[in-house]
Amino acid sequence: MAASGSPSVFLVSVTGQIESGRFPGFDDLYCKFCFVYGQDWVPTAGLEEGISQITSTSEVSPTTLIWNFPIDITFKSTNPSGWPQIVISVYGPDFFGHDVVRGYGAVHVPFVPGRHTRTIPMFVPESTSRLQQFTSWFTGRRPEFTDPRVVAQGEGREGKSLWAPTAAHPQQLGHPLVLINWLFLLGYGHPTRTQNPLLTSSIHLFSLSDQGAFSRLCDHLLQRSDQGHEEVGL
Amino acid sequence: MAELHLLGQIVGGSGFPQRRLFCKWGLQAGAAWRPLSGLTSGQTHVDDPQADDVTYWSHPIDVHYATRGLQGWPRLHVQVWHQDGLGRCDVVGYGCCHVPAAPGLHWLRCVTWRPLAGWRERARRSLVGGGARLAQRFRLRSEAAGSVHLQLGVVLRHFRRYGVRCA
Repeated sequence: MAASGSPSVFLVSVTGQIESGRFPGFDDLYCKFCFVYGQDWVPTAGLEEGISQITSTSEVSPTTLIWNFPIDITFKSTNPSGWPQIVISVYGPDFFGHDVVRGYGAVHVPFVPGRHTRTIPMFVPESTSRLQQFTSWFTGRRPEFTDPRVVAQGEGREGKSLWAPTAAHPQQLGHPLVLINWLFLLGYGHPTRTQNPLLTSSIHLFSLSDQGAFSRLCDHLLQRSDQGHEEVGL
Repeated sequence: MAELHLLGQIVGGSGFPQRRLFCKWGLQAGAAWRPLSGLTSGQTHVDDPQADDVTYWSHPIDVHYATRGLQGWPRLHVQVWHQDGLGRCDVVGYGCCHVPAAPGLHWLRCVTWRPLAGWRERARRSLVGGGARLAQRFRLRSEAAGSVHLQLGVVLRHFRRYGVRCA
């Protein structure tokens, strides 16, 4: 797969934190994270999974839950296919004190080196059966995925949401914020700046909370990428 | 052969008047292009936004193409569907955009449109649901629908070896 004479293995190092989340109406939440990646990828160092503390809002931050939960992992691969995704699931107690899922979300680890902030929309599955909807409302228990990794997979979503009788319509709830700081990529193909797109660095800061922000973000990114190209000399 | 990796997400949709939306998508490429791994078509879940009016799908895309020529650069087709309270599904927007030919991370906004029906069809749609579906473009009247937002990372390999500059 590699060009002749060039190293074919490259490393992706991810450090950062699950910083905070907004879940209107919910409190005392904790989050779990794990990584989903392709066959050619191997984690070489760091933790693949973790569970945070249970956090609640306070006078200082009445709407945002702060986790400040660090992530530090390094992957090795020969092929960008199957690029790692971080899967985050958030749980909290219901009225009876049982742990109930409050959101699932996934995002790719950044493709370009630099400091990145990602706002991840969170989903919970919803039962398509009216009876199950009623029982879940009555008992406070929500449908859950047995393995949260399904949110990082492209297959089987229609089966889960539309046609199967015990299926799930993910509803979107909150917005945990993941802050992924630095990403280093080494030695894929010829690691020269002009030839390897992965080695151009940029800063992307965004929030998807409203459409105005989205269009501003697009404008901002367009400007950034123009500048980036000038700097790199493309 | 030159290779193209397409990594990213169908982030969501905005500007659609309906709430319970899902998206069918597919990648179409010319005869010189061969998908080596990854899904080239799929369907998202049905999203019912609780917090704001933007629909989020966060649907992952990870495709690896090998190519012998530039003709037929991959295109992404999207169809946005609405599922009503009775479980019936209708198309509310068609859209298409090319995969960016420059390496790096790209934020794309794919505008969508839908066929404009006659007054009889529109009256039927308001009463019993359903809508006009697309058959052909010639002499077709259309109206604007919302946008689909995509975040795509493009990684190119060996294009320079064949004298192709992508930037």
